[in-house]
Amino acid sequence: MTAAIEAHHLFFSYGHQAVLRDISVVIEQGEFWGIVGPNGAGKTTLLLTMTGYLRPQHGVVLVEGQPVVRMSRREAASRVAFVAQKAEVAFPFTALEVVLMGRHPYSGLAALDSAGDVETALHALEQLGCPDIATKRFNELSGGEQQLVLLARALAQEAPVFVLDEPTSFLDLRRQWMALQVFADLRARGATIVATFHDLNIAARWCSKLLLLHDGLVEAAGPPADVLTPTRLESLYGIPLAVDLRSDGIIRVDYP
Amino acid sequence: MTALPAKLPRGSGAPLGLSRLTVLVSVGFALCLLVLLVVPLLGGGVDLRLALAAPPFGPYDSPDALVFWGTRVPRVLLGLLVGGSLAVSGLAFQAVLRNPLADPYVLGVSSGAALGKALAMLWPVSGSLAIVLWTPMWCFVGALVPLLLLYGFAASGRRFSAMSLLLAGVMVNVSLSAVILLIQYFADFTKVRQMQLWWMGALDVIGYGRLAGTAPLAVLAVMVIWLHARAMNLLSLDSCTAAHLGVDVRRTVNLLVWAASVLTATVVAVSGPIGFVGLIVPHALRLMFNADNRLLVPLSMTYGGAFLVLCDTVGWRGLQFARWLGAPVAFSAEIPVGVVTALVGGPLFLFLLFRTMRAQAAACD
Repeated sequence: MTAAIEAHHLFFSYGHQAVLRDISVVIEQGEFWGIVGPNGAGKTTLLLTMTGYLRPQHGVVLVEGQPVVRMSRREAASRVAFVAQKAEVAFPFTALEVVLMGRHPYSGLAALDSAGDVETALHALEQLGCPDIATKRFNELSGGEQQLVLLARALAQEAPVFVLDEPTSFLDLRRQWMALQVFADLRARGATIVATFHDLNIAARWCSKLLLLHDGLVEAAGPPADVLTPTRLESLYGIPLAVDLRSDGIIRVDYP
Repeated sequence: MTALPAKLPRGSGAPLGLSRLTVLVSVGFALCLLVLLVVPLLGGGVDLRLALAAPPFGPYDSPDALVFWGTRVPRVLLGLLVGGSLAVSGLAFQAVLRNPLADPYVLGVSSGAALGKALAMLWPVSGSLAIVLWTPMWCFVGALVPLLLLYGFAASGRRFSAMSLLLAGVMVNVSLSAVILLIQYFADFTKVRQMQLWWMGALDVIGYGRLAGTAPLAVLAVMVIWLHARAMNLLSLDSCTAAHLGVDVRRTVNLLVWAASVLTATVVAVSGPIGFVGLIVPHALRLMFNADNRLLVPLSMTYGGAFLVLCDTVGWRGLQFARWLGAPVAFSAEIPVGVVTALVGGPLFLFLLFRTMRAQAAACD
């Protein structure tokens, strides 16, 4: 069976600054990959090459077996849903209207929202526990609510693969848990998720595999327990760190 | 016009998003507009019974019919077309630049077209087809100057601060005005007067020739913009997100900028650079309805047209009214419609600018 996303020997640079130097990873369908690493390791750039938005100077990304850079934007959008770290909406659109934008890849020439589209969008907001904000203006929502709307938009996109840049930013603990639970459920039903995290504890808790990046190279890849070793993390982040493998299998990374 | 708001809940995706008040306000407005459109047709010593008895396109058997069908009706129709086109063009520029302050006049596109028109007046051509195409062509060539500058801004894909956008527009306007003044300085007196009158923006036409020459291209450009209304919505997000939702950002921005510029140049060729319609109308509609461009394109077309006809009526009939009240106003005087829209639009623009800057200042705290 073809993998959801395959990246082979990716090299990407902005001008003279090489951000990805040689990255290969195979993400099978139904996996939840967390991409972790210090600031500037190339996490976001890697995500953007996976969605086909950035074209790597060397190497190739296959989404469901096909080169993603050859897909039209519409086709790519029906296969991969992406949520960026920051979002700005220039005009007073409501939360529901922003979620409905996720239905764009499926719109016809008339470009109206069908009853089904509206239902899908409302359902997405319900899954994330915030149907009440549907009619509020996006720009007037709190940071956490805005993040939920963007995640709901990705859900409404109904793509088999989700690529999320810092999906838990701005979310309080309850919303963090709810949002990650939604994606865990989707994964159980066959969806593939790739997300960057700054919080190693969240990544270790929810992801089936981790990809640890450093300076544009893969430092380690595999199950969280294999990737998050104390010596590796200490040398990477440059401060003393304690990694505690609890009896219930949960990994905690903390300052000592 | 009244049918449009009634269909609204389906198209805009939600009975949720649309309150009863909005429907009432919009229907009420539409009715008021219908009444308004009739006002400029009435009065002024025209016997309507005689006028309406004559065939619309002539031959006219009475002076009443000539005034009514030959000048008043085309003037209202031209106002509808020009106002609607400018509003839609403003809407498209706002979507592309992600900024509600964008407007073909503010951005200098109208000035560019005006320069083109000045050049066309300097070198007139003969022949009926040439006359219909010559001026719009020059206007479009003139509009290209600010367009290329704008395009550089838009294609870079970021959201610009209101400040840099406005500064660029002001500089384009000042530079182009200087060139136009230079042309006027060397042109002969009658042409200068002609240019100045046109430069203030006016809707006086006689007959339907110019209307027929302008309408097809304008309608085509509006249709192109309307077909991309959903993509315009998505461009309100950052261009990276819009691309990830399936929009070919570069192609869409290209198309919208060209369509909006053709639209501006086409109508400016006839009416002169009438300012702020593209700013006021979409802004008011966003407040009354929502930000959905699928709705705003047709609404801007209708309300923009009605707004310009209203402004023209104020400028045209306002002085008659003042004279009737006893004010010492020359009998032939009328205020050019461009002056009226500028008097309304200038303060509104300043208000919007201050509000934007205050919001930006608050966001940094």
